Amino acid sequence: MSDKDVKTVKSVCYMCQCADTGIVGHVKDGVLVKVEGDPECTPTFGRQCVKGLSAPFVPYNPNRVLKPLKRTNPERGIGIDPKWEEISWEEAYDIIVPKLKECREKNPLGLMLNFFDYPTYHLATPWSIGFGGQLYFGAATWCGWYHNTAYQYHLSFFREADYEHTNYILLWGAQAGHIVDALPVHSAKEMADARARGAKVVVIDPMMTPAAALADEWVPIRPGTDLALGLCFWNLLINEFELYDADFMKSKTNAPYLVGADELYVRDPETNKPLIWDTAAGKARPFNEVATEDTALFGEYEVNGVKARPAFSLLAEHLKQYSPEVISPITTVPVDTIRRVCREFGEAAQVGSTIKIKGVELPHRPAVCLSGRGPTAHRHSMHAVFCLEGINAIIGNLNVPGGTLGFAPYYKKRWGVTEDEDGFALSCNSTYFHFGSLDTYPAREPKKPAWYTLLDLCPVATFSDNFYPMMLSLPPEERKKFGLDYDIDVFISTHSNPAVYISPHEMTEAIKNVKFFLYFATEMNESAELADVVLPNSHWTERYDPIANPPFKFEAVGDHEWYWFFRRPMIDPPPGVQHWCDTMIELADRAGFLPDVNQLYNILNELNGSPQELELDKRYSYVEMSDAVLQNRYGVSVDWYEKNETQVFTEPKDIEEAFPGPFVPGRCHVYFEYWKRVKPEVEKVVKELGIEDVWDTDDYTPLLTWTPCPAFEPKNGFDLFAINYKVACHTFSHSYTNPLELEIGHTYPWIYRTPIHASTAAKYGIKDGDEIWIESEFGYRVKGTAHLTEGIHPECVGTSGFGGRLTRGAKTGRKVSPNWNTLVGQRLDLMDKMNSSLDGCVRVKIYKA
Amino acid sequence: MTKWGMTIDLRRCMGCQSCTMACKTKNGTPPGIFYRRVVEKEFGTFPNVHRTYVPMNCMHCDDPPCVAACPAGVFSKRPDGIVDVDSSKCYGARVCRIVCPYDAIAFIDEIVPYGEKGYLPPEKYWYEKFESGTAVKCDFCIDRLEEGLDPACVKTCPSEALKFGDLEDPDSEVSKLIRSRGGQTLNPELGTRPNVYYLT
Amino acid sequence: MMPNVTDQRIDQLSVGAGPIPETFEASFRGQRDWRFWELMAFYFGCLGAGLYAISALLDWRAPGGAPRTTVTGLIVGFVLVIVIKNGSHVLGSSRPGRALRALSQVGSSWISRGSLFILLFGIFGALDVMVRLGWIPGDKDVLGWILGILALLASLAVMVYVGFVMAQGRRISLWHSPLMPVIFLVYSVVVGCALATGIFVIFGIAYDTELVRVLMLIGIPVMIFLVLAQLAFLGTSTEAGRISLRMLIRGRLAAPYIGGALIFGLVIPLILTAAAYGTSGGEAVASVISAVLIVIGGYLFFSSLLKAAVYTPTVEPGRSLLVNI
Repeated sequence: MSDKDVKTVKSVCYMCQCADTGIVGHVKDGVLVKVEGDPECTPTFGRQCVKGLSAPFVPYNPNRVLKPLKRTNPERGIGIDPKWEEISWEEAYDIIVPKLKECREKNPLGLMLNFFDYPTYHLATPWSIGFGGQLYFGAATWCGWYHNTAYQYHLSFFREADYEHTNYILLWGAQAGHIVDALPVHSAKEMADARARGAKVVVIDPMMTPAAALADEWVPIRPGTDLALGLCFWNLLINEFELYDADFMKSKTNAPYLVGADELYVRDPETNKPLIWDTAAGKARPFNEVATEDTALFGEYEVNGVKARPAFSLLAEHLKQYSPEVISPITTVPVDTIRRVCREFGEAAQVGSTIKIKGVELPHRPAVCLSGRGPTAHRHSMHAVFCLEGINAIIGNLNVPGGTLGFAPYYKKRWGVTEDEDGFALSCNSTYFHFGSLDTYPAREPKKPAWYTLLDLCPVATFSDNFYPMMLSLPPEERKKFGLDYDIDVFISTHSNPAVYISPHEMTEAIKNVKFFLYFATEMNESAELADVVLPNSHWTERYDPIANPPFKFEAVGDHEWYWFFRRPMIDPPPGVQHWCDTMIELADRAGFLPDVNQLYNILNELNGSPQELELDKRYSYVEMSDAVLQNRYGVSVDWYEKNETQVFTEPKDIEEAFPGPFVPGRCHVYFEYWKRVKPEVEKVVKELGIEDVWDTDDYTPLLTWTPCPAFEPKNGFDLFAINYKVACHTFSHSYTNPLELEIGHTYPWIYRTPIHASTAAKYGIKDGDEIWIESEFGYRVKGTAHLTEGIHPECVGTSGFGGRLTRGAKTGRKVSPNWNTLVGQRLDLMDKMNSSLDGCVRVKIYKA
Repeated sequence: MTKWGMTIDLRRCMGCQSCTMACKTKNGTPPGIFYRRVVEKEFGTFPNVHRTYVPMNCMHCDDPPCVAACPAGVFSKRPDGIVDVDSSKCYGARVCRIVCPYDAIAFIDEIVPYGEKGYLPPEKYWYEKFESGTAVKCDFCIDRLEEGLDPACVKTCPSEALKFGDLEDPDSEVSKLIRSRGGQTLNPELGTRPNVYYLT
Repeated sequence: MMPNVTDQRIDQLSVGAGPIPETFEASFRGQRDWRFWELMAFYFGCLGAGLYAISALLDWRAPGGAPRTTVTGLIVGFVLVIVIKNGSHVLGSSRPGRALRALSQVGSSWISRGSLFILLFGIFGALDVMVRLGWIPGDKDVLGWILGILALLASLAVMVYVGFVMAQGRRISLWHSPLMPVIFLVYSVVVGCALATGIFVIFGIAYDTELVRVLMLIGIPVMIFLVLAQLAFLGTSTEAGRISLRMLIRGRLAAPYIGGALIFGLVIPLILTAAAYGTSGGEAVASVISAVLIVIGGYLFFSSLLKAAVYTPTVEPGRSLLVNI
């Protein structure tokens, strides 16, 4: 490649969802030949991870969809040829637009839009709501449960460690800072710097992931028991070691709130405010009137004629049952290890210490606990996420140096934080940015569900997306029981692969219940093969995304500058192929609801009354609409990026923005009174619907409690767990069609092979390199190649990433590795009714193929 | 006089193979041809197990066995320490692969496409400079060095495990790291005197 | 639960992982760069050069005025080296058009030196044969002797250089040994004697059986000693060496190596040769059987030598810097 003929274009990586790095694309004769990190992009250090580097091969996928396609084979299923007929765009619109019109007239909720494309949320959401339809934001159904805690604890959707100031990093089923989590590139450097500085890393995980391999200590744990160990940590930190941050508990949590025998707050009769026992005054006073040093955390008091105790004392007493001696046999973690790691963690937090950054004295809590998908994707997910993320609250590290920081919760102080009448912090993130998630506090009013996601039955969940595939798979009469008396007439999906979300076996059947399925595809995949019409979509290397890292999504935390990314096409899309959002605008225009979309766009993006407000009847392009938000929100514009030939706009961040913890009002929960309060309301709706037999409300308890998963006890010879973890070279199913990523994946002994502990393998008579079947209790099985290792919990067999593709379209990536999702059972009784998490504990047995 | 060398920090390497990918896409090597790679090794027994990732590329030895053994003069030691490779001289004796203690030399048997239906558009540009039946290897990205840039692998490493610089200059980052961290070469007993140092 | 139709389709799509590229594995792996053509070249090089050297000696010892029948051996040996060995090298080369570059690094490369030896052997050998055949005058003159000695020396160099080439493989304990050049030299002489015996007896060519027998009775025990010494050294070398050793004495190479090359290729011929010594009649049969066994054994020996080569992993526990991680 002679460099003279090469044109360089600055853009932003989008191989995973993170939009983490500024990149330079090298283009020769219109062909993308290389992508590298942009050395001038300071926020990401000019570096680039393995995934983004492999971008040049993606837009040229041999199975790229270049023309609209219409199904001619009525039989749908995995491996069945849809017998595509190429049609023109006009023909495609003639098929789709009447379906939209019909659906909108009949019942607009019959439209479901499913997408996992962060840069377009600001448009796709108003599109669907403007239509009157419903939304499903997710990609896969497994991750993201900790977001339920994030708005409360971190006042943001995402959180990350403040690696720069921390000394102890506890990765709980997570690989943060190891090129697989949010901000892979940025965090990797910061994590490496922290370790070089002497920070200790401990990883609790059934699998020796690269993070665990590199850590100072790997603590293997039995899958599904993290909640038990987490509660044991709470117990040790509070009762045994007394290493909790008492001042933080008193001033920033509801720990001191007085609770009566009914487990609800005791309130001031006049102001209705929850009460705190004032030790100086010797009486209960509204929470906002008691000085921190006079706040009681323990004791029993008589208030308003009832016996009341601070929530913290109830919590401390409740936690005593979770001693290491009890928890050790549940988790298989030795008693000594539990005590030692917990003590190290608690001591590292240096409760009470401060640090001066840029002249400002701030609390310094240099210990963090970051939880991942594995510990939290369970039947009792809501308790698990608040327990594991709550460990940070116990040591008071929320949004302070050395602790856990939300992604941009306090940008320009105008995305401010307010305090409600009960004294709790309200993050404005969710309402402000409508990115598919809601605040988890206060509880919303439970109602008969309107959406397939049953969000109305989940009043304290940030999203309940997992119920949608479950509901879709039910026959109409079953579905009616949940109040869903309508069908999904139009299902639109893009940047997501719903056919393989959970169990491909069961999702394939579920999607058959959709009346009309429109899929936007860059390349043929499992979902496209189930669609009625497939429309071509431009690849990210070919498109503009003026808001490439939407706020609260991917923005480095801590003492760095703010940066806003702008994605521009590095190469031209194939002829006739455009950004899916432009197609959606075209569809809205043709179906006659574009003014509603524009109106919703103005409302949700707060353009009303601003110079950028859209005219309702005018048709704008996706880039124009994005530009309006850019100008209104950041004071930057598409023109600015183009004129400066850059992809990044930076702004200085001050200390209050970087570490908002001490500067924002409001408390967070360690005692979940609002769960208890909303429980009867949920029960009422459940009773009205008559679904008490399948919809329990047992988890609505104010104190976090360990309850085993259904898969906790082995049965019928299914005595192993199939576990799944991320790997650096893959993200989502699409990466399994990239030959470069696949080639790299093949170079690891444990990524495409199936790690089994040597002793377990010996028990089953399996040798290294043997072909094996992994069969789950749900009757599904998948083939793998055994890799004997010491680096996995002996009760587990490991699978990585998405695994092998199941699409007819592409040969590439099909014969790679076991697809964990094919083992999973999609069952309502395995789901957390509070937040829709499906239990990821899959019991399996293995045998030679 | 400049003497180029590299340090690889095994405490920073996360085994993500971004360096491998950056190398592949920068050099545009055909399927199966790697100038560098990350080798992993597991130690210990459960639960006291470790896995170490060892990124490896050409060690640009001071006593390079490939230069001595190659009958065709494909390899040469440059004054700046780089062991250069001129594949157009290679006739395929493959003795370089026998004598290199670090598996640094790849041999292109045949150039096949990555694409399942033939060459993908970038591949057409990638493979222009390769011919089948020749040996290839890392040259520390000489073309990038001439432009004042670090090698592609060093530049991309997300955890900054790789550093590159002048070993003769006592103030260069690599020299300082080798001194302060006690940099070691891989398999020094083989007497090849590598210029890639590992930090543990 | 019986899998339904979808399951069976997924079953079919579900296939185990492919192999890991070998250089990424921190484990012992076999040498695979040199296989069939290299084996052909090395083996026929030894065979040809050995035959040439033996035939040259026999020719010199032929009584004055007797028919110069053993020149046939010289010609066959010459052809084996120049045509078969060189041809194998060229056929095994991926870019034969550049094969002459092999002569460019005589200062450092043993392959280059070997190529030079072959070139010199080609020149001196051809002249030597022509002189002995009388096509060029000077047979039994100073010129003839000089050419003969030069060709003999070149043939010895052709035998030995491969040993030096292989001994450069620092990570292959089986090869990385000072014994290698000696092994190649001695084995070349042994197989050369055997091939000479075979050819001369079968085609009824008169030769100095005494000399050949003496050479074999010395060469075979030395070779047996060298084989055993190499195995003994292997046992005390590296882990890779011990793996090679196991492959050679217990693994899938034990039959060709111990059975074929050592017992049938050296020990039995030695016994036969010794037993038949001085007997009449039986002697010829024994020497032909021995010759065939030795020639086949030699092939098995060199083929085992290539196949049993195991690299020490670049990254190995207990070695160098990885000890303390």
